[in-house]
Amino acid sequence: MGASEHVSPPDDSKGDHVRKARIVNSEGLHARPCHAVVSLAREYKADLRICNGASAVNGRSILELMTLSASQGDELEITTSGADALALIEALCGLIAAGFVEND
Amino acid sequence: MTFWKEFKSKSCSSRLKADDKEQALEEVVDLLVKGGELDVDLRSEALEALLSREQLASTGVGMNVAIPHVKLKGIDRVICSLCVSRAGIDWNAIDGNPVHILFIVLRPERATDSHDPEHHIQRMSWIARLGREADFRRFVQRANTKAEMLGLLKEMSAV
Repeated sequence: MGASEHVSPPDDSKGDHVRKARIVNSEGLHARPCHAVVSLAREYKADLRICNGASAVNGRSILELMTLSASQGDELEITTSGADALALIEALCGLIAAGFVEND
Repeated sequence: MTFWKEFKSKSCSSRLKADDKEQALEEVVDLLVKGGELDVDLRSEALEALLSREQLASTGVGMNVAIPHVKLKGIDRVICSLCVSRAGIDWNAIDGNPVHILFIVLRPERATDSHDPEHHIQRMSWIARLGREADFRRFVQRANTKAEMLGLLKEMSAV
């Protein structure tokens, strides 16, 4: 009698997630988009790191994000980790792709 | 960059008197007018623009810092002010903490001989680097004079 092997499906909601996202809005990652990113991040528990070139910062801080000087066309590398990491990275990539919902 | 040079002593304050956001913005705009940086005819427009910006999203960026900044028609160069409130002001900041340090930036709507819009994001990044420095925040809040505050801006401008 062979015991069936049980393989747990990977839990994509935990662990690190890394994605790239390009800034599309003309004004870049200025103060208001930084506010939008942090407001979104605060809805989740996951850690958030955002990297622009050689600079990597805590994505939960507006001041930190503003130091990235990310302009239109720059590609950010986003890393989330923790309980709802996948949900956060998907929501954040959507926000960036939508140009932070700015009308400019 | 030498963004610190855009902050003029007469337009700064080491002791804001205001105890709410609206009063603070009005006090700062009046400082800019009295300091000769902003034409008195633009006082109302500047104040309205700053108040409207706060409606979009608070400029309280956390760590007791706010960076009210707007484009303003009628100016041809960037106008800046650094102000400190000892008591702290409720700014509906992202982290809920009161604001003690204000960086105010008014900039022309378009490029001029004395304004390159490309510098804006670098200027804001420079301000953010100062704001996130615990040493800067501590020292600027202890500064007794505007000269001390501006000295800190210069001294720490390489952060």
